[in-house]
Amino acid sequence: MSAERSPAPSVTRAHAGWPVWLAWLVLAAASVAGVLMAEGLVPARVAASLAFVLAALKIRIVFSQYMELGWHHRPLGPLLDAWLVAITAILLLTYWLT
Amino acid sequence: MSRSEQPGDSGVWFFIFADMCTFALFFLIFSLGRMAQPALYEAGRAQLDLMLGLANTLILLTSGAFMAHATRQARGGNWTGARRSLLTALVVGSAFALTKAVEWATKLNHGIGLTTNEFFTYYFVFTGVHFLHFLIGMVVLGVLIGRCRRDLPQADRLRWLEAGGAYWHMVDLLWIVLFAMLYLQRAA
Amino acid sequence: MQDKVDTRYWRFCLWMGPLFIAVFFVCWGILGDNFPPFAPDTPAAEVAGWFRGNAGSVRLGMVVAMTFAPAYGVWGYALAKILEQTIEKDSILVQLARVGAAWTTITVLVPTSFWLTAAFRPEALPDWAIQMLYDMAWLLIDLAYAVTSVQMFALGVGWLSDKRAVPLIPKWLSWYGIWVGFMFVAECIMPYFRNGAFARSGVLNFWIEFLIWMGWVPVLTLYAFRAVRRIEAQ
Repeated sequence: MSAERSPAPSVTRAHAGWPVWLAWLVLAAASVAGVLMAEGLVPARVAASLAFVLAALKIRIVFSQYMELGWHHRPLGPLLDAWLVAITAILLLTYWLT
Repeated sequence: MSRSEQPGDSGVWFFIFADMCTFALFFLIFSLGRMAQPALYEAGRAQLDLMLGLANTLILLTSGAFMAHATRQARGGNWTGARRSLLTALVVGSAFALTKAVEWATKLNHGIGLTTNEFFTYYFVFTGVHFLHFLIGMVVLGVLIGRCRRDLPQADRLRWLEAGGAYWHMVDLLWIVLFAMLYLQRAA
Repeated sequence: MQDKVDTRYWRFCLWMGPLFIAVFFVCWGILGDNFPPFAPDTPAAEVAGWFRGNAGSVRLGMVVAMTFAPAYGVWGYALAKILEQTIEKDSILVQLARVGAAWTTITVLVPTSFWLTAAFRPEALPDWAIQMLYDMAWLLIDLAYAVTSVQMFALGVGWLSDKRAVPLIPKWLSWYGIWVGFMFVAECIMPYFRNGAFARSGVLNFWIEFLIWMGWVPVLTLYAFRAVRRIEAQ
C-alpha cells in the first residue's frame, strides 16, 4: 500500500462575519415574523409569499454565518445558492399558480 | 489569514448537496400536489400546530448557533470551549425530538396518520425523513464532542468539526423550508 | 519494495458490474416490463392479462436475468479486492463488502424467480395469484435494500480511510455510495402506498432509487479500473 499521506488542511481560515448571537437573533426574529403573518396579520397571499422569501433569507444567513460559505467558495457556494433560488422559485410559483 | 479555503470536507459536502437535492424534489412533489388539491392541503395545514412548528424552528436555530460558535472557538484553539458549545448544541437540539414526538403523537391520537390524506402522507413522510436526518445529526454531534478531546492533529479535528457542523446546519435549513411549506403556506 | 499484487481476473470481474446492469435493464426491465412496474393499484385482471399475453418475453427475460444475477456478486468481490489495497486484507469492512454483494445477488435471484413463476403457466392461474406473485417479487426486491446498503457502506467507509494523497477511489464517489445506501431507506414506506410518489412505481421509490443505484455501478467501475492500474504500478 502506498505510504503517501494526504496533506493536513491549514488552520489559517478566519471568519469575518456576524457575531453568532446576531445571526441567531435575525433568524429567530424572521421565524416569529413568519408565524405572525401566517396567523392573519396580513392577507394570505402576502403572508405566504413573505414566508418563502424570509425562509430564503434565513437559509442564506445559515449558509454564510453558520456554514461560513461564500460565493468565492467555488463551486459549492454558487451551487448552494442555485439550490436556494430553485426551491424558492418552486414554492412561490406553485403557490401563485394555484 | 485566508478566507478562500472551503470549510469542512469536500466528500461530506457532496453528501450534503445530494441530500438537499432529494429534499428539493420532495418540495416539488408537495407543491405540485398542493396545486392539484388546494382545499385539502389548506384543511391539513390548518390542523398543524403553528406554535410547535415555531418551537421546532427556534430549537434547531439555537442549536445551530451553538454549533457555529463551537467552530469559531475551535478555530481559535479553544477546544474546551468548543466541546462545551457542542454539548449545549446537543442538549438544545434534543428538545426537537420531544416536540416532534408530542406533535406526531397528538396527530395520531386524533386519528390522523400516514394514509389519512395526501397532505398528511407528505407531512409524515417528509418530517419523518427529516427526523431521520436529525437523529444522524445527533450522533454526529456526539462523535464531534468525543473528537474534541482526542489527541489528534488540530487541523484534522477542525476539518471534521466543520464537516459535522455543515451536516447539522443542513438539518436546520431543511427544517426552515419544511416549516414554511407545511405550516405557513396559508391559502388565499 | 512491496510485493506485486496479483491482479489477474480483476478486470474481467469488474466488467461483470456493467454487464449485470445492462442485462438487468434489458431482461428484467424491458422484457419483463418492470421499468417501471405496474402501479400497485392496477387491477389484478390487467396484470394477469399482461402476463398471459407476454409470457414468452417475460420467461426469456427472467431466465437471462437469473443467469446473470451472479455477475453482481462477482463485481462486488472485485471491488473488495481493491478495498483490500486501502485497508487490511482481513478487515471486517472487506468481508462486509463481499457479503453485501453476495446477498444482493440472492435478492435479485429470488424475486426474478417469482416473476418467472407468474409467466410459467399464467393461463392456469387465477388473476389474484399472478398479482400476488408480482407483488411478492416487488416487495422482496425493494425491501431487501439493506443488504446492498451493507455493501455500499462498507465500500464507502473503507475507501474513505485511504491515506493516499490521491485516494484510489475519489472521496465524492465513496460518499455518493454511502448516500445511495442511506437513500434506500425510503423503500420502507413503499408497502403503504398503492399509487403516487412512494409506491413501487413512483418517482421516489422506483425512478430515483433504481437510477441512483444503477448509475453508481458503471461510474464506480470506471474508477475501479483506474485504481487497478495504480495498484499494478505500485
